[in-house]
Amino acid sequence: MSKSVGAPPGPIALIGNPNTGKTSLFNRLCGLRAHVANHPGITADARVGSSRMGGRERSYIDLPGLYSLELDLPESRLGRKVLEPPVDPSSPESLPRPSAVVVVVDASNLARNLTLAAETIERGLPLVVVLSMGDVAERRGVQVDADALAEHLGVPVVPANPRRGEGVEAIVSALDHATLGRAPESGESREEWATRTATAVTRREREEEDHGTDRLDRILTHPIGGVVVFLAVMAGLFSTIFWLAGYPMTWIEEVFALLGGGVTDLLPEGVLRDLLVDGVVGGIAGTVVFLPQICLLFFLLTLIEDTGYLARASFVANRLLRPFGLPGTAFVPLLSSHACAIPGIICTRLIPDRRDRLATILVAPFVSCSARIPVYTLLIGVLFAGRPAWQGGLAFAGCYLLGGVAALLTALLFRRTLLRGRSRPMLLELPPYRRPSLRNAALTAWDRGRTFLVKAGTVILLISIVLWWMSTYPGTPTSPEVLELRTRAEAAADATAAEQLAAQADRLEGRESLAGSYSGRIGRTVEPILSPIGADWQLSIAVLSSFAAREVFVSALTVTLGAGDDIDDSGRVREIVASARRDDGSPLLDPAAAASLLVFFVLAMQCLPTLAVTSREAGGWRWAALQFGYMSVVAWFLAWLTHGIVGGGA
Amino acid sequence: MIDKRDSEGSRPSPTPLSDLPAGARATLSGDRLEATDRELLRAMGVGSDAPVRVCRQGEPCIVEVRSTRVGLSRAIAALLDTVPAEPIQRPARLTQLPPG
Repeated sequence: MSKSVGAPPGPIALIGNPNTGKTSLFNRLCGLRAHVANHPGITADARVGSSRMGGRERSYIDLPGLYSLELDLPESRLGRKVLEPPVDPSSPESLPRPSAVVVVVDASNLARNLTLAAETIERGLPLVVVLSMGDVAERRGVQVDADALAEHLGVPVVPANPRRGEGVEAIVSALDHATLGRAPESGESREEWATRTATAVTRREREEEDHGTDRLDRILTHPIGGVVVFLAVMAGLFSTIFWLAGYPMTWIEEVFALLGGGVTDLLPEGVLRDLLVDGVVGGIAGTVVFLPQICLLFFLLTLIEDTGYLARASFVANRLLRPFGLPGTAFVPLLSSHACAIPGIICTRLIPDRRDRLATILVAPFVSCSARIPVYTLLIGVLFAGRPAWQGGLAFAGCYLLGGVAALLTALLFRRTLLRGRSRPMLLELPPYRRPSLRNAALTAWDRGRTFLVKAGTVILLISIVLWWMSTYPGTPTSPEVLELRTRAEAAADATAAEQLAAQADRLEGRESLAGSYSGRIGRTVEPILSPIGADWQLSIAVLSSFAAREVFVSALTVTLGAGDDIDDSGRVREIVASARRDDGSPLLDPAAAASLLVFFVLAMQCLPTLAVTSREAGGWRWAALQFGYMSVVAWFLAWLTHGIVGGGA
Repeated sequence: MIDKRDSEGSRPSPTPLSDLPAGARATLSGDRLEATDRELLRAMGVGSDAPVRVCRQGEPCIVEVRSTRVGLSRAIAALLDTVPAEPIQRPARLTQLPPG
């Protein structure tokens, strides 16, 4: 007998098979009032949010799409953790138990979906069943009697189309009548019960074969045609990201430049001003500038996923990646890593097999991310100065290719050694083709963007402040050369000459200050390690600083070389770097040094926030340490080889 | 034409899913999968006695099970046994005659 208990105020868990419209329902309920909630020890995440619909404030938990609560998969483990009473309620990791569950079932495949409903009923929580995908079922000649289903299950059943927002208010109202459902009787398996119930409430008017979908599937998963479409979609995706994101990225840079200028004008010269301008504003700008790329990436990926293409593309990618020990599902994380390795590594949650997942996490940072672009631009600009532009373009493409090849070969190495084991064969549900929801895509982009800002922004900000401190302290006394320049500037009759002398004094003072700082000292200490790849103490400081974040290399190098205010002019920066000298008077960046540093930057793990994310996603700092270790060794070795080859041939 | 029937000739004998042509209908009768793959497939609705229609054969093998499409690698399809709804019809192969 089912007992009507009604849903008391408290979290409502949303559960359902993948592609049932569950997340669309959550987005309709919570909109922007949602965020990703991570659960310790579980690599799947749930979103939590709140809604005031129906005149009541309720909180909701959107569990990831899952086929069963009984499987040994991250999403099933999370489902069990949320729905079952905690083993130790006093543990800080225990979650508040939901007061009710909304089970979203697909009307076009009721038997399979009811198996999950049976598992949920057995967890003893009041529930409401949402009958979705009615339009798909109707197209296929399937009619489900919602009232009869409610009678069988003993719980409210609400037909709805969450993608179009239909039936959402009825679901909220039904939550007041959530009850404990009727579990399968003893002696009957859940599958048998689900099939029997589905058969009793479903009327199949005609047998419909979807030949249109058959044809599309054949094209999109074809060994040649499928690859052509896949490459075209990916090229379109990335061109759009880089092209469109360029505009907001420029605006963000301009806003932060204004902000930095405002703080400079407002505060007197001193430590606080330097901290705010160089440490805080500079650090936040360095993170926020990548936000448009992250948001656009997830917006477009969600649109592609919504069309049903992404699952087909996974099979095409599987053919390309499997020889290297990676699954087809790794292509989205590797693709995302071109924008930034952080969302790429977070995306590996899509990969069900742990070994496949770890291999993808470990090699994702080899893929050239957008933070490397300023470094490539500078070094290729110096390396190919005065040569036809196509040569520089080719070198740029070569950097991307080198990173990709390194990722694939390293994945193969890991799968044959540390992560040896059977590769899980591909097994994926292929959702129906349909028009994507812009609303869902926008909400996902917002959600991921915010998560990126909070997680990575805090770490980068902290690192920026530490870097600023290390490059500012302990401070050095002003040298006689600087004092002399200042005296000459004050005595100069011509205003322009005075300005130039003062600027020269500032640059020299900045360079001396950095050389005497903790960063400078460390740079000199590690010079013997980096000199085989062509770095002197000045380059060593810049390389070391870039271990916090790659893009810091350019600014650190310009500060080291005393470029001063010219840091915002990329052409001028290249000129300064190209003409810079070492202590012995030789060029700072000869072709051998520029080429070896370029190879080093393609391959080295120089991003602390990425290491932090690797640690969290892979399950411990030892994976992050391994990633840092082998990437540094590979980068140093190939850079050394490059230095020898280019230097020997020059 | 090849018609796979059991020894009594009364009904088709189990055929690997990977051997069914596109468009064929069959019922899953068993498998030789590892437990983890079997459990996941079963949860996805591709368990014993499930009716399937082959939408695409090869890599991947795409089947429709109760209005839901599932893509399987050929390695998995080869380990799933089916009982075809109709005898499998294939073009007859030319038999090479022994020399002489």
